[in-house]
Amino acid sequence: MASKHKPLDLFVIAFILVCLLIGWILKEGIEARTVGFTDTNANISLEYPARWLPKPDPGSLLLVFDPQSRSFFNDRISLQVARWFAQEGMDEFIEHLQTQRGSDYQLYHTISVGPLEIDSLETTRMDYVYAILSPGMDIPNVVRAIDIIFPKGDQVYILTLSADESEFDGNLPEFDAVVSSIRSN
Amino acid sequence: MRSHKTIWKSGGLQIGALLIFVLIVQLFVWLTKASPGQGELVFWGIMFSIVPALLWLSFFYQRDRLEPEPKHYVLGVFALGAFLTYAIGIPLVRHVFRVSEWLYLTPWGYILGSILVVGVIHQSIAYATVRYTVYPTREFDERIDGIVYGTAAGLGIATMLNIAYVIELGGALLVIAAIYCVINALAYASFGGIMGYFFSVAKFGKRAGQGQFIWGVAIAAVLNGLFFWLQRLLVFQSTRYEPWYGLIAGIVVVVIIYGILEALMRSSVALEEAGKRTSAENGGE
Repeated sequence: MASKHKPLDLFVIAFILVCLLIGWILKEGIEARTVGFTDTNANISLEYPARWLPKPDPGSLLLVFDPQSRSFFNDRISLQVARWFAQEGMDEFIEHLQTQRGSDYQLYHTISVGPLEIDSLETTRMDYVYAILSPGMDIPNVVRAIDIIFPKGDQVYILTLSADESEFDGNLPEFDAVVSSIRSN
Repeated sequence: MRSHKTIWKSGGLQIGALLIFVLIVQLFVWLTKASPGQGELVFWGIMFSIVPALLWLSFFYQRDRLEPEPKHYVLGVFALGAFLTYAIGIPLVRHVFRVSEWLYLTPWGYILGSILVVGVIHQSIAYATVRYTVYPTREFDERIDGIVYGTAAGLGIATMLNIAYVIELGGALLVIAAIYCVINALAYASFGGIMGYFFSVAKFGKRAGQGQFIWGVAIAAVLNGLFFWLQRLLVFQSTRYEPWYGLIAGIVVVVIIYGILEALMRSSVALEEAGKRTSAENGGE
């Protein structure tokens, strides 16, 4: 009876592989989906991955978090806006921001600061690290973060990725895509 | 074969026993306010997985009364299904396809992904478990054997998924874990049984061949995927966490699928008997 079938059932295996291939294409298509965000006041727009979920935050124009984060610190991307004084240079603003971050976060430390050009927009990238004590935890989480800072009119926009140190590298490609999607008219 | 009344009575008893199992866990948690450690979690995971699996396996095993399969064959298929799920199924679903990261993002992706990824992977394991072990042997000699072995493979898959789930929950929700395990055991047994029916058709039917295997994998994967989707939609996507909705949906789905399986078994047996009568009459002329 077994001779009725080819030893490896090649058609069955092919069927299974085709299903999985379609499943993979589906996965890639869904993962590539993005959601657009526009700040109509300054005509700045960007796109973030659809899997990141928005969360209302009075201090941010946009706050999305990664629902798959396994850390007590929810990995997040935020877009905030700060007042920009014409007499203030970008270096002064960065110093002010570092002081602010230093008072807001424990064990704050700036890793690097440097220029970055996006879509003909002059920006500054600042990498830093700090510690945060989550409720009910004895050991603090180490959080790594990147600020992308750019002035627009009389305001400065700060796009930030903050992620648990163990998940930071995994979030970088998606954040890079968000940064690349920034458009300013 | 036993009468239909006895079969349904036995099936009802099995479902009753599973509900009693969930109630016992509820009572235990209520009385002890249990907060188990990692070692106890593994114990509970195995308990929650094995008890429903054995109840359901015994039900299907009893159906094969004319020429019962060797118990070590049935248990071997069960164990292999569990091992392949641990070694291949769970890593593929969780780490290669990473379904938890994208499946729920779109309604159509949720349904299609559940079928094409979760359903196909789990039912491919059930297929390989039966096809390359007992199917070519002489022990696979009755139509009901496909259902018995398919069920055993399905229960092996469900057992390993259940253990992983209980450990992942971290002991916080023991009653919910018990409910989940009962649903999964019932469901995967039924999917395996449906696929097993096609194995029997492939071996004993007039339309034998790989086409029957493809139908078996496809139909079981669709049912598996729809069950996965429906269960999570009701339990995890509602505004509140409602595990009882999942239990009710699981029972409804499984009763429907088992009804289909029962009808397939009866029609195939009737066809076989009719074929034998015809050949006996032809031989007598």
